[in-house]
Amino acid sequence: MLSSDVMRGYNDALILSLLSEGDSYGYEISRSIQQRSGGAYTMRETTLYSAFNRLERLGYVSSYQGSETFGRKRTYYTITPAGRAFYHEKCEEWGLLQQLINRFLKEGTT
Amino acid sequence: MNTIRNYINAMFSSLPRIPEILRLQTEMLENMEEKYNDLLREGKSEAEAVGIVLSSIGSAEDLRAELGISEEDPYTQPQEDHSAFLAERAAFQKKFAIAIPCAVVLCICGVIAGAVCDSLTKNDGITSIAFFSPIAVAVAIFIYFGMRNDWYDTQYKEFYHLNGSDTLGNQVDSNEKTLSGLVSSIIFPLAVVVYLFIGLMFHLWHPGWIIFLLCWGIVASVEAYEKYKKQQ
Repeated sequence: MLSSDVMRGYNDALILSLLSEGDSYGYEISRSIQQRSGGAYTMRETTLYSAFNRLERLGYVSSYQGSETFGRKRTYYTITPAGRAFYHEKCEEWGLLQQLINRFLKEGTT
Repeated sequence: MNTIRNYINAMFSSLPRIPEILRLQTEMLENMEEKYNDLLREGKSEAEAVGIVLSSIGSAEDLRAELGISEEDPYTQPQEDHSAFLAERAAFQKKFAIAIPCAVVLCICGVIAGAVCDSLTKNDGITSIAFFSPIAVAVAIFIYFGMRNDWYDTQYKEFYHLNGSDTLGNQVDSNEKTLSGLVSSIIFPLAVVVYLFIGLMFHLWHPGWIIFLLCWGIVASVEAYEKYKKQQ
């Protein structure tokens, strides 16, 4: 189980990566994160919804109301071009970060 | 599901009620309901489902930190205004302490001037002007300073309330005081002026006294209206 501290800088990128596969809403994203991480990481709901709030303010995602089977309204999110650009930046950053950390941390060398 | 709803509502209760945050709250409630129903469908018991949902939400502190809202923000700002306001209020109170005795002296002057004129001239017009004009000035002073004083008092109570040392009940009391207090502080001095005026000019002392009954009725209905509003 990864702590939320470790994941801090990459929560937004995780959400954007899922949205780049298609529009989605809160619960679905939270479920996808849990499933794809094999249960190793569950994003807290407070983190998830405030991330939506922040991403929308930054113009990286936009929201719309969609109707659903139970007749309840649901807020869907869609990634914007600015959001895609930011996501690609994050991907590059992650590549560099990975290389850097790997140069220092090697299991079995201590 | 009620437990979850209550938990989320309680968590948001300490945050500012701005549209952005209210939307976040609604969205969270909707999605948590779906998650809860999903868990039940998977065969979890109600208690288990509530437990899983609650543990995934996080705390009010998390939410505050994520949104970048600091707890002290709403409190620090009024404190600065507070000291400037207190100085202004103290300056006003000095003026108030001089103005009220001055107005009382003016009233006495009016009575004396009226009596002197009456014994000297036996002219009703001059007598009433001598009697009425100092009293009119005095009444204007009473009304103006009374209203300013009320304003400073309510403002002071509001600041005090923002600092967290007052209860909600007291705030309601202070509001009540301003509304009916304001009405009676204007209406009764005015009634005195009108009564003296119609009495001295037209000798309408006898039916004129009805004006006080009228004023009392107005103030009583304002008070009744306030109580009705307070109950709602």
